[in-house]
Amino acid sequence: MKILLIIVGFISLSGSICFANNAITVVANTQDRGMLLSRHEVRNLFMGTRLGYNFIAITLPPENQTRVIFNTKVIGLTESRIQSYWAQMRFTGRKKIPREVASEQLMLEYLQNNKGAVGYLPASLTLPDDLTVIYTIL
Amino acid sequence: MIIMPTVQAEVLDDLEFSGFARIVAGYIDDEHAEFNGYENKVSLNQQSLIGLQVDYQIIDNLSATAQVIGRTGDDNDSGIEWLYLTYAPTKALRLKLGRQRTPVFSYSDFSDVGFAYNWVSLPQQVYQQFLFPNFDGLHANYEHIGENVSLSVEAYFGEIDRKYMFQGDSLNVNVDNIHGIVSTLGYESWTLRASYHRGDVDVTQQELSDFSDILRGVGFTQSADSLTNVGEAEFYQLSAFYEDLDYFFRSEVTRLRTELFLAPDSNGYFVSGGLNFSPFSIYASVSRDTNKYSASVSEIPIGANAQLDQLAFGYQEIVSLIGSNSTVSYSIGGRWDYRDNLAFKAQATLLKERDGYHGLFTYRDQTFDGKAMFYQLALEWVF
Repeated sequence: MKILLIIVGFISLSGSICFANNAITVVANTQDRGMLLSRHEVRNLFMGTRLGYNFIAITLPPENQTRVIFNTKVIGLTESRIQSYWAQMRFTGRKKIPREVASEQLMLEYLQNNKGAVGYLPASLTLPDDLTVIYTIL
Repeated sequence: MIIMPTVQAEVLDDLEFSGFARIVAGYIDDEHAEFNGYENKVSLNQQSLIGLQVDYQIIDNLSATAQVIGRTGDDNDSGIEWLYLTYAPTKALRLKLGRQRTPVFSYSDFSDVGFAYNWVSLPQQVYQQFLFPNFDGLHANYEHIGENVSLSVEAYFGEIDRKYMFQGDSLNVNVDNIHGIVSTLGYESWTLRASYHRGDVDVTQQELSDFSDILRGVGFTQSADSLTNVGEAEFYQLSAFYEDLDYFFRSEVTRLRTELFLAPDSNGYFVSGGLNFSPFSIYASVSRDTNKYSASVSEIPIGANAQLDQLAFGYQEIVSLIGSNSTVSYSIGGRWDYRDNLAFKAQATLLKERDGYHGLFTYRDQTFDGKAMFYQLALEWVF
């Protein structure tokens, strides 16, 4: 019975880890600690549109797993289509591709050091107090 | 806190070089006709091209951009495609001043960047109507992002004064007061675009103008007027695009009205749908148009004397080169994104003249039945 409980406990724990690993938070360096954005606004921000706020989107590299989850859940396009979109935007002078940082750790550092910077991170990551979660998707 | 040197380098980097290239191979599976320079043997030098762009951030909200394209193909219009300043006075408003591509249809300002779309060739029946690729002037874009809906409104005006090659002929194109308005609505995975464009056009094709002057000189004003390439051109466009992780759907309807002899009144549309299974995607498309040229006149008497007969014959010869028509194409194709900046594509298209006069094929012999299969392979690269 004890072993069964341990197994059940382990399964549910691994399940919750898995769940937490797939949840994404969008984090901003902003004074407005109560700010929340809609999915549409987050999607547009990361597709190069400047919202009415002083936000600048920062992304992770195409092969990064957090980016893959973010593409799937928030952008709603495949990486191939996103790259096509940026080719269109660049060569028509419409929008600028967001700055890219190499890893989640560097993202965290960049966000802390740059006012207005917005990036996405795994929800499981512990955030420093000076950053604000403006959107979460499970 | 640590900021990585790479990040600092990016911040300092105000000058950016980038580019795109495409190698397109095409083949018409019919020895009795040619289409857009393609014939019954594989050709790599009709649509292959390379584009180079340089962007310089002058100050925070002001930048300069230049883009040059080197083309292959019979209608080789290599040169400066874009040369403009971008000024963004607010987050929502962006102004561009200089030489730009005309944003007439959904794909017209990036039709050269093959990496940015799935087809090898954009649907012929819509994109052949696109007459004036560039203008010199001002373009303004205002964007509003709501909680669930986004709206973009673009307006531009300017002029065109340029020499173009069209099906091997040199055309001097002068368009005064070209202007247009484009509105784009984004909702969930949908993008809806509607636009209107117009201009006062003056196209000179030397032989045609010389002949028209002769007709006018001897008093055949109606005949001379019927060959005019001076007048108003208007474009209307509507499109609906849907795209998610698994599917995509795209449709565009266009309408062109002109007073020009060389450009028919045209209606065109395409419908395309496909599946994504990254890094691959496949699609099927149908595209159709109708083109109506202005009517010829019978003003010059025949049989009166040899010189008049020659004029009448010359006039008939010219008007026989054009004629109202309707065409359709059915395509299937696929794309493989091999790298983030490199894709391979393949497309097979059945091109068909539905009724009326020559609509698609630039050369034909007597036995040609008005339809042919067109096969294409492409490599698309951005850097």
